[in-house]
Amino acid sequence: MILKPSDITANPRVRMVLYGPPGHAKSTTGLSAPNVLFIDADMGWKRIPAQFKTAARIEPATYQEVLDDLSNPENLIGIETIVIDTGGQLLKFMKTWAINRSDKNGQRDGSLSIKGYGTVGMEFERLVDWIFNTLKKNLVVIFHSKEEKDGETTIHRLDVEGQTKNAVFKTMDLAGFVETRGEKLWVNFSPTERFYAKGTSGVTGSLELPNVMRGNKNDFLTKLFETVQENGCKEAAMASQYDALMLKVHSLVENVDAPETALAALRSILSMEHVFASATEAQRAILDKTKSIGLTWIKEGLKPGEGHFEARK
Amino acid sequence: MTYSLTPSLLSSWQYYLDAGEEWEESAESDFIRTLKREKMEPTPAMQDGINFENRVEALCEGKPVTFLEGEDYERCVREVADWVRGGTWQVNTSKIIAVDGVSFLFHGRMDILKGPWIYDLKFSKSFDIGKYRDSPQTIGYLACEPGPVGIRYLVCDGSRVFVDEYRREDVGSVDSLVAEFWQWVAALPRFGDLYRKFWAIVEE
Repeated sequence: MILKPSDITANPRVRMVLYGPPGHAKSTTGLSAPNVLFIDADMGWKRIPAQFKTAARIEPATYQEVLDDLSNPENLIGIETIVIDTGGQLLKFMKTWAINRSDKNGQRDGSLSIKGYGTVGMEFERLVDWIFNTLKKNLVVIFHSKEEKDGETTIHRLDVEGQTKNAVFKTMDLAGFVETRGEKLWVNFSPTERFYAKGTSGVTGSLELPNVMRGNKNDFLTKLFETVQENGCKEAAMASQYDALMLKVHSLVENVDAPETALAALRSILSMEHVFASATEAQRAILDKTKSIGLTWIKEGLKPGEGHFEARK
Repeated sequence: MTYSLTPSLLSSWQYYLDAGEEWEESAESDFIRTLKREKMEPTPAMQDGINFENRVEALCEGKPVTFLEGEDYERCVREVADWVRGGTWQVNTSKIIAVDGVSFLFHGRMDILKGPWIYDLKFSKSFDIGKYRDSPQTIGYLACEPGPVGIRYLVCDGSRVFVDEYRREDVGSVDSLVAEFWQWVAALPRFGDLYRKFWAIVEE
């Protein structure tokens, strides 16, 4: 079963995209995640300051090498996070892989066909799912951004072709856009008209990246993941409460067969401590049921529940 | 006086404001027809959306569904059904908003409400991530329904499903949107008069 990103579960791991212009410490930030295996698809390792090169690393030249390296359990001993740098290069590897698998994925000029884009998008989703749910690792995929003009506004997008970016964001819990403001680097997790971003439990707005060149510890993502997990647990508890409450609601509604049982069920529903959308959903459930058995609500006051049900004449 | 206001009217207005020269005339004509509350036949694109939604709903209800559009389309319907199964469909929602002493009943119908999320189903060949951030549905539905953490658009392009999601804390204010609309429409009599005539709520 493919787990959907940002479903409310107490997930102990995180999937994220980190993107932004070149020279914005994205690779170094990737290395701030807990116990990293760094997939250096872009051969950018040499540009990372020496003091941060603490992670295990592979340098794949093809997508198959990525799969083979990740399939070897020995490579993953002690690893908590897979960092792919960059996702754009990984998608280029996938393009060749897809065309080699089927001629229909490519065109005569060597570019991807529409079907090929679909294949690559689905393979990216499958890879994310495999790393996250089967290998049970955090995943950080780093992308460069590109700029596009929309009137006066400069829009920053993932530097990937076509609709692949839609597939990339779909699979992620978090998407942070890195930019410079003043002399500081910020990661934005709230979408704006200038860029798309995606927050999750307790992670929203802009967070300042610590200046690790001035002695700050390179642990931004480690701390961020802890925040996500902590808040995720709170939301997951609420989700359990919601599930239990809705079970109770459906059981109450099922037993409605007359004006008296309908009123008792409605009052019981109104007295519950609701969570998420349960109040609206529960009231709608009882409305549908009473309507189906020919009951009408006769309002007698302004407060919810002030009234009674009557059989429709 | 209270005026009615819907996401479709606000979308039609936004589309008119954003229309380039090439589309301005047709966007204005659509906006005026929306202001006049004229019944419009669904365009082929709208019909695609309705067909897609009906298939998803039927599948969620366990009804038999036939697929003539091919495997990719069927996979999309099944994937979206997996997201929304168990949710409450077609939920009316509303909120009274006051602007400059005028009262507006913002109301709409959410596709699906399911616990922490409001879901909206779209069928669009031209989806780009972030497309629905400023949509009146995003801003309005989250204002009307205080419970969910956010809204998710499940977008099918015919062969893939994409997700455009917004958490409550990241979206704009419906009060500002309504104020902007009211100030704009009230300043232009050819639109304002139509709005007042066709969207005023007659007190019983």
